[in-house]
Amino acid sequence: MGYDMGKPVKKVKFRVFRYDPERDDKPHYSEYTIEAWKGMSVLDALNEIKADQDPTLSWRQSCRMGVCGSCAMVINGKPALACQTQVLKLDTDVITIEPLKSFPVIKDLAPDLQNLFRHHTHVKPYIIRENEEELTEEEPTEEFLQSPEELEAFLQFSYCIKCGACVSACPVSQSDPEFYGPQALAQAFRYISDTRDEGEEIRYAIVDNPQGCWRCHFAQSCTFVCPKGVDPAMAIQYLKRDLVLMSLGMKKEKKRAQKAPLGAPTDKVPEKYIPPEFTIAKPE
Amino acid sequence: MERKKRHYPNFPGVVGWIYGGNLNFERVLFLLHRITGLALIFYLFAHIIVVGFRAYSPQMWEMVMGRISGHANPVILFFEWLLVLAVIFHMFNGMRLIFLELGFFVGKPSRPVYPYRTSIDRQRIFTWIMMILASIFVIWSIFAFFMGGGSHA
Repeated sequence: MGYDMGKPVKKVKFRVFRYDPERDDKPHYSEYTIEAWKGMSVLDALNEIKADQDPTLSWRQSCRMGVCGSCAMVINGKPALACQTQVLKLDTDVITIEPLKSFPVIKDLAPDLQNLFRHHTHVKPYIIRENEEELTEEEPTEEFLQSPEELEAFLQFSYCIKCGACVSACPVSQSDPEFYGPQALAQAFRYISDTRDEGEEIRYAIVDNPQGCWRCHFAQSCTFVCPKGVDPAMAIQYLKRDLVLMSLGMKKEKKRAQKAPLGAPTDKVPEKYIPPEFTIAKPE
Repeated sequence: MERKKRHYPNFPGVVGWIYGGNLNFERVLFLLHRITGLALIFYLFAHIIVVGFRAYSPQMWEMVMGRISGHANPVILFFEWLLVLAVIFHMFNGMRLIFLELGFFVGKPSRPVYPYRTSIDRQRIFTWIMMILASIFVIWSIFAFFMGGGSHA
């Protein structure tokens, strides 16, 4: 490795999708050449282009470290977070950057994600309790207990950052905007498999329709592009499995989270709810 | 002059099925499954029309078969073989989809630790087994159609 951070390594040409709703009738591509350095992300490159070459270039960004999900764009044909994609790791001389597909373009690389959030809210992505007061009490007296296994059943899906990369990659979403999309269906499964939640019947009824989980044809592109390892394809197949088992009457009843008084001493909490890293040796 | 702002509708539509970008292998299977499925439906209608000639007379049936059966016309034989390829692919990929869409071979949710292992990695061995089985049938079909290995002679 003969190069340092910040030192130019090679020249890379960027072909960037441009669309200005006030001026253009149809999109075109602008080309910029920049010096790439080791450690440069595509987002860094875009910032350099905006600073030095073209101040009219627009996109959306916020955290620049793969947490907020604002900067998802199609980089060399694959939807990805611009901040997590290394320019040198792409290993091409020309990098094509386009806005996410399946979403209307507001300007240049900024897509309008309203459709994503419409479907997301439609599947009720929050904990539903039969006794709603449990969640709205001002001074709660009880807490839910979850074992590490019960946490792992939904933890993966709760890492979703709503960047829209999965919807952009999904071939069904590309031809049918009314399909709920991988993101919303994965979130439906995330709350269904959460033991604290009691709204699974409501959510099964929502996703069990032709625009819901049955429109997924398992191209698995959502899982392929997900920058957080959420695996929406797996979640959707489990939704289908649950619905098939329910129609056959073979679905096991869901486990409910136990409750314990708030701030109870750990020796009152059953052993299996204590993660191994929290077990403290008890005094003899 | 003031222009009305409008968003550019970036919907690839059906084109997105054919090329959605630099994506995974399963997407190709998805496309082939659609194409072969459509081909089989169109074949079904053509098949009903052709077989329907039997309703007229035995001579009519003989005449039709003398023109458009695989025995009579090598071009038709080639298309019949393409049809068999479509059936083989659709059958094995369909079996794969039945298993995977019922949640077999896709693995269980796990803690997402980078580098992420996803359902793509877990189901790929199964996918390759199904595709190898399909290719065995394809080799058999070449033998049966073009090398005189079939039952008809």
